[in-house]
Amino acid sequence: MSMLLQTTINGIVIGSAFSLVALGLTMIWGIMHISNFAHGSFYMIGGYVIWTIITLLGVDFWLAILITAVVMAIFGAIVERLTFRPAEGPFSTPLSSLIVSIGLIMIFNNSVLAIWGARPETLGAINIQEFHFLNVTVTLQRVLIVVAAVILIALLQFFLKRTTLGMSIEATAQNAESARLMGINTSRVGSIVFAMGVSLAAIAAGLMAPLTNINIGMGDHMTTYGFVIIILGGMGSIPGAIIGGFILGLISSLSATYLTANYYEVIVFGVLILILAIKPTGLFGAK
Amino acid sequence: MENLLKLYTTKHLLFALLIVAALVFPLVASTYTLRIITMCCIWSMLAIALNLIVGYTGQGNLGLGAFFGMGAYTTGLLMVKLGLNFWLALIIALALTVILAVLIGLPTLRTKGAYFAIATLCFNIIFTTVVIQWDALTKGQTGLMNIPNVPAIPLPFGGQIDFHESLAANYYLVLIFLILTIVVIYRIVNSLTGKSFLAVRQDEDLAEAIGINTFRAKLLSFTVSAFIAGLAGGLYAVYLGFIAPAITSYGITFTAILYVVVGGAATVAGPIVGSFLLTVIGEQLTAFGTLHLIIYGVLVVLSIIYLPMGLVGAYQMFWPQIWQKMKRGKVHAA
Repeated sequence: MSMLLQTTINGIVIGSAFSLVALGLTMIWGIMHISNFAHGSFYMIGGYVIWTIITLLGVDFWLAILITAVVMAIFGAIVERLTFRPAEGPFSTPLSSLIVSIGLIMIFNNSVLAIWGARPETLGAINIQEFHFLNVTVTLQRVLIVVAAVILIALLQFFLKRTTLGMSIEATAQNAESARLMGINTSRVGSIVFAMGVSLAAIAAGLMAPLTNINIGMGDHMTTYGFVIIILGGMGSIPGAIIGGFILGLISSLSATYLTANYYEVIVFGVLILILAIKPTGLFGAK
Repeated sequence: MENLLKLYTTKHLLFALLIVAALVFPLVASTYTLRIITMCCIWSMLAIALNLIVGYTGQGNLGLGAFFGMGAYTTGLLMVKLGLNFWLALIIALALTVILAVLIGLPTLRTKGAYFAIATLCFNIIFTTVVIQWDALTKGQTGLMNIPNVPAIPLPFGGQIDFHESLAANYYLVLIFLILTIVVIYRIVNSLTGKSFLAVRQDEDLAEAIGINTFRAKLLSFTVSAFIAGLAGGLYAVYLGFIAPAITSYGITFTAILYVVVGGAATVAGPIVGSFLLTVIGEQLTAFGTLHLIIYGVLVVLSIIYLPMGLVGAYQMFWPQIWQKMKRGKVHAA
């Protein structure tokens, strides 16, 4: 029983990170129709940036997360302007953004290798106070990951539903053409959304950093998991990404513990193919 | 009309010249160059396979790496574990690859667009995970080593083609399969079936409305594409004699997509041009050491920004205009 509870809690923790990553991915897809396969690389860079800020500047963990979020947002906006934006044109196809992503993955991963080296980095002990209840042990950091993710999701919802800029993002997602006619600068909206998506991925990496080490490969699975989640939740759907993130976190945690540790990815991705075979537009997909 | 005839014959002459150049190539090339060009031929086959389903049929199949891996691993395992000879192993491997393709195509092809891309990506991840974890069969991360060479082919007047000693023999083997693949693809895309693939890419609903069984067209394209990828995989296994799980991964598909798009999607020559050009450039860039993959990445991004239709696509679009202009210039000069 306590094992089930422990596994469930772990699933929710990892699910929070999945949700944040998938949120960025689904927003970028919904607004810009870009399949950003480099999302995991942005996640990884986020991890290295927070490590550098904490190690070099010696600042507090939460301040470091804030700085990382801002730095990565600016970085994301620049990358979008320099690569994804010019690749759009009369001859571009859905494959164009995939090719840009492949190029970016090569540039990012090898730049990180050149700057930080191949040795994995660790943040050391952060928020390691333990809570014990019902034979379950949870560290403070794990609780804070979930709390931070929930707050961030709530803030994002508030931003999208209650502010002018947020509403113009929603409008662009619904119909870019009409949004432009209503005087919304959709090009600027695109940049902002891309910056937000990258920033969310970096925050997720920062939150997870104390639990694991920071290495070049840490983002690889995040991209595929992110896409699986937004497919489950319906491409472009924000609630779908949030719910899908937690569902996938639970599935991966539970199947890794109870079914098979080696083959759990087979189960996770197999379930997705099965769902798509029955319902070709995802669980929450509209049409 | 005369101009068209001239263009037509130039094209055929060029093709014949290319084949002759490819045939005499081992006589002049160094071992190092020959190795690279042999790999280029294998990657070309994979890129051609990808171009059929992605370029011509418009279905973003991100699972082709699994079929390449299926061909490579089944061929390799049958030769190493059961001691079968290459030809028998290859035939069984291709049959199994086709069966797998149909089994995967049936559920995944029900989905469209990005959903299909992710469904096939998931299939590929499952395949790679199984290859890594099924240690007893595949040797896991260590990889499958000591795959024997193609058995020597005796010649009618004594002597034999020895694949163990001669790199050129391996090159010719791969080259023959590449030329066969090009001919088959050329025939397919210029046939009614090929036109139905294009129709599916343009507008699936419209294609269905004019009486094309779009699902069958997609499944056919998907399976033929998997077959060619499996063939490339089988050749890869026997040529290098060593295979590791990385060659089954979706990274292989991504590389092939790169070759196709840079060369020119939905053109016969595009995937081949892309494979040769990028492999050779990648090889040249290794001189830059750790920086070489960064430069390669920058080149990739620049090429999609400035040449979104690929080299061959741009050539097909702009060459007739330039040619006309040049001719007119000549007339004026005279």
